[in-house]
This record gives sequence, structure tokens and C-alpha cells, in this order.
Amino acid sequence: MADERIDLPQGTLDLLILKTLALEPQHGWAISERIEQISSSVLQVQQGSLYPALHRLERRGWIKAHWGVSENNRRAKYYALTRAGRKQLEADTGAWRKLSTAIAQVLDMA
Amino acid sequence: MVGPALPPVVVSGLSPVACAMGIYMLTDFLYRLRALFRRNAVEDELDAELRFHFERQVEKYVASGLDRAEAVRQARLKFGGLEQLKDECREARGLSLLETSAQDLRYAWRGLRHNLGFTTVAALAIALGMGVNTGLFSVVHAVLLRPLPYPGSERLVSIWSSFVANGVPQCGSSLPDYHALRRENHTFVDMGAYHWMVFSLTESDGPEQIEGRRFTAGLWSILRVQPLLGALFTSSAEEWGRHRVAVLSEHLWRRRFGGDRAVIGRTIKLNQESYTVIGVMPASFQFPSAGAEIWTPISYPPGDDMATRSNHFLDILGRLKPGLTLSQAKADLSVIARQLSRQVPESAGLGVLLTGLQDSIVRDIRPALMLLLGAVGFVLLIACANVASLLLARATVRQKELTVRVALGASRPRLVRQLLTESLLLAGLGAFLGLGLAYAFVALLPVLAPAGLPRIQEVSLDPVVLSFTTALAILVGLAFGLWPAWQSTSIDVNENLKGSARSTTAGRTRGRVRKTLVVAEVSLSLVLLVGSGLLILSLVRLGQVDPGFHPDHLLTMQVSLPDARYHQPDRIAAFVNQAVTGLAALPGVSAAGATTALPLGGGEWGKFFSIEGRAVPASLSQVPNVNYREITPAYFSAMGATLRRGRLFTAGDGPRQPRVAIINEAVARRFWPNDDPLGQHICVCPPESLLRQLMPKGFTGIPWLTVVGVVRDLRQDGLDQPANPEVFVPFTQAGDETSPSFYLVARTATDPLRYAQAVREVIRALDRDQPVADMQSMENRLADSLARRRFTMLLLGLFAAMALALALVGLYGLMAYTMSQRRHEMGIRAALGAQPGDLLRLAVGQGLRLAAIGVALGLVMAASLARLLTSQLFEVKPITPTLYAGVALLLMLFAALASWVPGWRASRVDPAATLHQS
Repeated sequence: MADERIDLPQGTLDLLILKTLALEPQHGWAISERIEQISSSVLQVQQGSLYPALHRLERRGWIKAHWGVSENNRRAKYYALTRAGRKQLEADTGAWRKLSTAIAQVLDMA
Repeated sequence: MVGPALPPVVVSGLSPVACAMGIYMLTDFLYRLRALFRRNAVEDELDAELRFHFERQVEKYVASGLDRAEAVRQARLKFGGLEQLKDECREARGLSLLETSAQDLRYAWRGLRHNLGFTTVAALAIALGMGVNTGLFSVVHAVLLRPLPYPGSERLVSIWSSFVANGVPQCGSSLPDYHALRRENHTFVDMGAYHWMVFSLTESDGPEQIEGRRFTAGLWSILRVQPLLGALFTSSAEEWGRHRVAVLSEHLWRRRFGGDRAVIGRTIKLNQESYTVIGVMPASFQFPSAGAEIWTPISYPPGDDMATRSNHFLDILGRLKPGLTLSQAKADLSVIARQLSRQVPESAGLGVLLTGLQDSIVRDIRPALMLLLGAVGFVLLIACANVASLLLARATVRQKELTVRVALGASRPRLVRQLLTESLLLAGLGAFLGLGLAYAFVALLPVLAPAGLPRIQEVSLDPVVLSFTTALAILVGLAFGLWPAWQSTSIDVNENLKGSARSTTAGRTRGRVRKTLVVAEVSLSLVLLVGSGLLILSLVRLGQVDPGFHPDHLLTMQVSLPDARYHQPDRIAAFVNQAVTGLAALPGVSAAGATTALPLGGGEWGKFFSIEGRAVPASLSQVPNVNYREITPAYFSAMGATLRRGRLFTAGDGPRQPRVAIINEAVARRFWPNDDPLGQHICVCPPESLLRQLMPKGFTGIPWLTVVGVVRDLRQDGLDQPANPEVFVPFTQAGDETSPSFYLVARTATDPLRYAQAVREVIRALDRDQPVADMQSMENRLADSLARRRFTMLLLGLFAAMALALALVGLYGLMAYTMSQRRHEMGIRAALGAQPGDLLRLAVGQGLRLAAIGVALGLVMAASLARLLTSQLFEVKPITPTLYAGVALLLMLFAALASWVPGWRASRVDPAATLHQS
């Protein structure tokens, strides 16, 4: 299983965070868990990348933070997508689809 | 604890993109702001957030079956370095402006400390530039910019009369004219008048002559000043008989009356009359200039000659009504002057001149100050160019360090900011040292500056000057730092890490820029050298001007006899005669004389001039004007003046003898260009027919004088001023006009000032209450008359020398650097058989090429800028080819020297060692 894990390509973490938050507001730990779960543990999110990314996104105004109570009854910092973040997510998703399609085409060349 | 939710931002009328940009910038800003001011809160939140994550992770591991200790260990492992993570979060927030600035500052300080040589040279260059700029700005600020110390001073206006058709472009006003202007104008709140006067103050310890002013009472309220002690006189004091009241200066009060408050109401003896002291003015009151120690009211007995329209001796000051302009006031007063000119024969041709008070005070010194301000600007530019050049050289040395930092992920803006921090720190350091320099300059100014510079005592390093210096330091730091910082951070990591930094494009560009900077430095310094050269030439020319007399071994002094004791003309004439006889009898004195107007002294007295038998002008306004002096027979021989034609006065030209006059060459040239003036009859009065109209009753016929001699022109107003037309008459024949105020001159065998005591005793023997004032050697007066020019010349010369030194340091630095960079090449050349001489020629050749370009550019700049100097020059053309050539040659010589030294050092390099090194 460890063999199948791959590091995230640069810049894609932001996209995954935004996508995760598009479903519902989440705290940092849940975001990393969610990404791992959905990708069937192929994608590993390092804390060392996750939190700087969250702070960066917050600074850009794409997500905003508020303190809430977690599933185990503790104070946790929740992040939610802003309107600007939703737009950004759409734009980035489109760009990513294009890119991956293009790469797939090249790789599929006979 | 929760961060503030962003307020909804509604920006209508903007494109969505602009909106998004706006919101982005706003959130970014708010984020940073919060981070800045709520730093602890933000840190706490970060801690809490990460702790929550950690604990959640531990719980997960525990749930999956690990025991707690192992779960914690695993979670830690997964977490990695906590501090590093926090750092990265902080970085992501981009909030650490203050923190990183402090970090930059520490880093910059370390960098500067490690390169002491560079730091010292750069900081000194900036200190020089900043020092002279701060010093000079403090002068410009105090003299030209800061308002005068009177409330609402911007509405104070100086007013003069003029009689253009008589050849008098500007003069004081007569008392009746002043009253008319004051009464009839519609543009002034009020007007006041004042004039200069010398008082002799007699206290128990003997007489002393002091300078003072007489004021009309209204002047105090126009200036809106208050006394330190007591009161100021009011208009009732202008009535004759109630006028004997005096206001003392704080200085006089402390010096002569021990600062005793009981001085108010005390009686003092002024000009042999009793005056009551009613007030003391604070030392800060210096109107219109420093030096006045006493003020009394302007008052005349009815029928006094001074109060007539023919004596123009008053300066007028007015306070404009709010909202009115100078030109409106001028139009208003001109109407009154035209009326007077039409209605009153003595005021025919009267015109008015108006200038803002501040302008009138600083008018003479403004051009010189602006010139010097420009010069220090140049010095600062050169200093900046120098430091920029040094920074560029340093950038090459630091290439490796910067490359490593880039490779480690430092962004370019971050590096630029760091390098700029270093520049600003350097500029700050330089500014701080420069302030020391400026402080010394300001402290020494009263000693160095020529006497009589207006407002010079107000110069100080006040908050405005300090703000100027701070702003300038920031500007300077950016000016010399921005480009090198930008340039040296354009780094190709791959190339540089391979170690081929020497051949990068950046390196080549840097070299070109440094050369350009050196060329600019050379050209700017050449401009300053030419400027100071022109001033020096002017002074040399002035030194060659023949004053018309021998200024050496000449003692001069002023005596003002008080009206109360010397009212009759023959008493004055007797005193003058006894004084010069007494002086001449002193051992070591070969001749002594008296005059009402001493060259470079003062005592101007203009009079109408007519010649018997010449056509009579239609009105008084067309009658020519000459300068009138009363002298004793030995005056010219004491002065060492030259008689051109005829004879001098003798003791035989007494009151009952035929009246005689001596004219100077200026009069002869103007009125007898082709004839012999000797024997001609002249009058220092209007022609008879006009005079008869003026004085229908008392007219007793015109007092004709016979011209008996012509003397060479004496430069009255200074060596740089053309000689005025002068008419001399004997004291003994001056009649009612015999002046109670005059100068004595004595030609001495040795140092004139050694006779001072003996001369004072001669005067005291004649009248023990009579003081002697303004005792100076004539050479001293001559030096004083040139002092301002000399001061300007010295300062400009100093600035030019600084500029030259900085430019040469710049050139030297560049050549030394180039040579060190080409060490390898030099080694090869030497190994291939080049002689040390060849290498030297190479270095000097390159230095001279750069200098030549700078000199050529500088010559063009100097030629176009030199016109601005015209007002400061004397008989020197702004474009003087020999001077320009000389300065160019001098600069080239210095440039050769500055590049010879590094070349010489390079040529001594052992080729084997160099080649071995690489």
C-alpha cells in the first residue's frame, strides 16, 4: 500500500482543499482525512503542506475561518469556501481537466 | 478569539475583475493588519489549530489499536518539525512585515559590520553629501523659507520712493510723502516709518555710541510685537516735546543696566538730552535687521528741515488688508504718488516701489544661496553615484551569497527588500554622521559668515531641518540602492553555481553602469569646479580694481555730534577742524581729514545738480542728481586719492571766501565730456528758475560754486560698484547744511588700529561726552565689502573640492576594481611578456578615456549652467575658455593619478602567482 502513495504535484493541493470545502466547512484534520479517504489513500497530505496552504488560501480570500465545535466536542478551526473561492475552484477545476486530458492524450499515443 | 468576518464589500460600477482585485487586495490588507496588531491572538490560534490536529491524529491511532504512547510517537513522526511548520504558516500568511524587517535590519547591520572598509567609505561619502545639504538647507530654511518672526508677516510690505527721471531708481521717503501715502491709501491696514540712527548714550562710565532706530508709533502694532518689559511708545510720543522716551533692546538692558527691572521710568542721557526708558524689547526682536539697541519715536519741531519733502530718509512698512495683493497695493499707492507728483513741485517725478518685507530682507542673498543649494545638490548626487558604484562592485563579490539564497528559495522581491534595507541603513548611518557635520557647520556659521547676513542668527537644526534630512536620507538610500539591488538579484542560479559568474551578462551590465556613474561624477564635479573657478576669477578681478585711494595704513571712524550741543554750523565746523588738526598732530599720523561719506562706510547724501548757463529742464523731475559730500582740505591727501586737475581745498577756502567745489571724474565725464570743468559755476540745487517756484518767499538767489579741482573716482559703494558722480564742498562753506555726522580718516605710519586709543583721547579732549564709533582700518572695510563674495566663493570652492574628491574616489574605486577583476588577464599578459609599463598604460588609458568623456559632458553642462552665475560674477564672462580648459586639464591630471595607482599595483602582480591561483 505504501508503494501506491504518491506526493501531490505542486499546486494541486490548493485545488483539492477547495474541492473538499465545497461540500461542507471542515477543519484541517478532516480535510486531510477526507482527501486520503476519497483518493483511497493514494494521495497523502502532509501537515507541513496543509496548514501553510490553508493560511495562504485564507489570505487570498478564497476560504475563511471560524472556530466551531468538532465531532468529538472540542474547539476546532473550521474553514469554509467563500464566493471568490468557489469561482477559483471552478476555474482551477476546468484548467486541471484540460491539463490532465491533454497529458493523457500525449501518453496514450501509440 | 474568532477572526472578524470580512464585511461584505459592494463595489458598484466596476468590472467583475476589478471587483475581485479590489476584494483580494482588501482581504489581504485586513489579514496583514490583523496579523500585525493581533500578533499574539493569531499565534495562539495557530497553536490551538495545530494542537487540535495533533490530538485528533493521536485519537485516530489509538482507535486503530495502538497504545497511547506509540500513538503519540507516530503522530509526532507524521507531524514533522512543529516550529518549521509554524514558520511556513507565518510565511503563508505573509504577515511578518515587522518581523522580517527587523530580521533584515539585523542582517544588514551584520553585513555592514563585516565589510568595514566598504561601509566606512560609503558612509563617509553619504555623510559629506548629507552634511553639506543639511547645513545649507538649514540656512535656506531660516533665511528664505521660514516666515519672519512677526504674526501675519506675509502681509508686511516694504515701500520705497523713486525718482527715475532724476536718476534715482530707489530711495527712502520724505515724512510728508509718508503721511500722504498713509492717509490716502485704501489697501493697507496701517503704515509705519522708521530710519536708522546713531545715538550717543552717556552713562557715568563715559559716552558710548550705539546703533538704533527711530520708529513711528504705529510700527509696533503693524509688527504686532510686545515688549519684554514695560511698554512701547504710542502716537502721542510723536508730538515734539513729548518725544523723549526710549525703548531698549534686551541686550543693551543687560549690558548697560545689569538687567535691572527698575530701569523702566529711569532717565538716560541720549545725544546729550534726557530720555525716559519706557520699555525693553526681547533679544529676538531684530527689525529690520540685527544691531539696533535702542528705539525712539520719530518727531520734529515745527518747521524742521528734515520734515520737509526734500529729505528722503524714511523706510516705510505697511500691513496689507487681508485678501489684497501686492499689485493691488502698488496700483493704489501709485495713484497717490502721481497726484503728489502733479500737485507738489518738490515731489515731481515721485514713484513708489513695493516689495514683501521678507523678500526685501533676503533679496540680496537669495541668488548666492540658491547657487550654493544647487552645488550641494551636485555633491549629494556625486556621493550617491559613488555609493551606487560601490554597491554594484560589492554585488559582484556577493554574487555567490545571493545565488545560494535564491537557490534556497528566497524570492527576488525578498532579496531586493533585504538589499534595500542595507542601503537605507547605510543612508541612515551617513545621514547621522552628516548631521554631525551640519551641526558643526551651523555652530561655526556665526564665526564664518560675513557680518550683516540677514537672519543668519536664526539658523538652527530645527525639526523641519531634521525632517528634511530624514526624507533626504530615505530618498538617497533608494536612489543609490534601488538599481544595484534590482540588478544584483537578477540571478541565473544555474550559471552562477557553475562558477562562471565573471562572464555573466549581469556582470557586464554592472560594469557599464559603473562606468556611466563615474563619467557622471566627473562631469558634475567639473561643473562645480568651473563655477568656483569663475567666482575665484571674479575675486581676483575685484582685487585688481583700483579703489581710487590707498586703503593701507588708514584709520577710519565715525563721529555723530548731538544736535542739542552742536546746533550751529560753525560749532560743527570748528569741531571738525579741531578734530582733524588734533589727529594730524599725533606722532605717526601724516595726514588726517573728515568727510560726510566715507567709501565703503556710508553717509549717502544725494542732491540736485545744475550748471550755470545750461538749458533749464522743464520740471524738477528732470534735474540730475549727484552725491554730495562735505570734506576738510586734507581729506584727499589722507586718503591717498589722486588730483587729476586744478587744486584741492585749502584752509583759505573759509566761510567768507568765494564758494568752491571739487568734482570727481564721473561728474566731469558726464557733464563736461568735451570741455574743461575748471572754473565752471555749479550748484548742488535745482536751477534758479525752478527754485524760485519752490521757495517764492525765502529765495535769496542761487549759491553758485566754482569748480576748482577734479579728483579720480573713489569707489564709494564697493569695488564691484561703478563710481557715482560726486561733488565735494569744504565743511567750512556748507552753511546751514553742515553735517553733524561725519567720518574721520587718519593716515598712519604703522598698523592703524594701534592709534585707536590716541585718537579717542583727541576726541575726548574736545568734548568728554563725545563717543567715537565704527573705528576700523580701511583695509578691514575693504575686506568686509568683499566678505560675502569671498564667503560664497569659499563655500562653492569647498563643495567643488568635495565633489572632486568624491569623483576621484569613484574613479579610483572603479579602476582598482577593474584591475582586480582583470588580475587573471594581467597575469597572462605579463607571462606573455608585457612589461609593467604596458599594463600601467592600459589602466591609465582606460581611466583617462572615462574621465575625458566626463570632462566633455561636464564642459557642455558648465557652459549652459554658468549663465545662472552671472549675478555673482564681476568682469568675468560665464564662458571663459581659458578657465574651462584649465579646469579640464586639472581634472584629467587628477584622473590620471587616480587610475595610475591601481594600475601600478596591478602591474606589480607576479604572473606566476596569479596564474597559479586560477
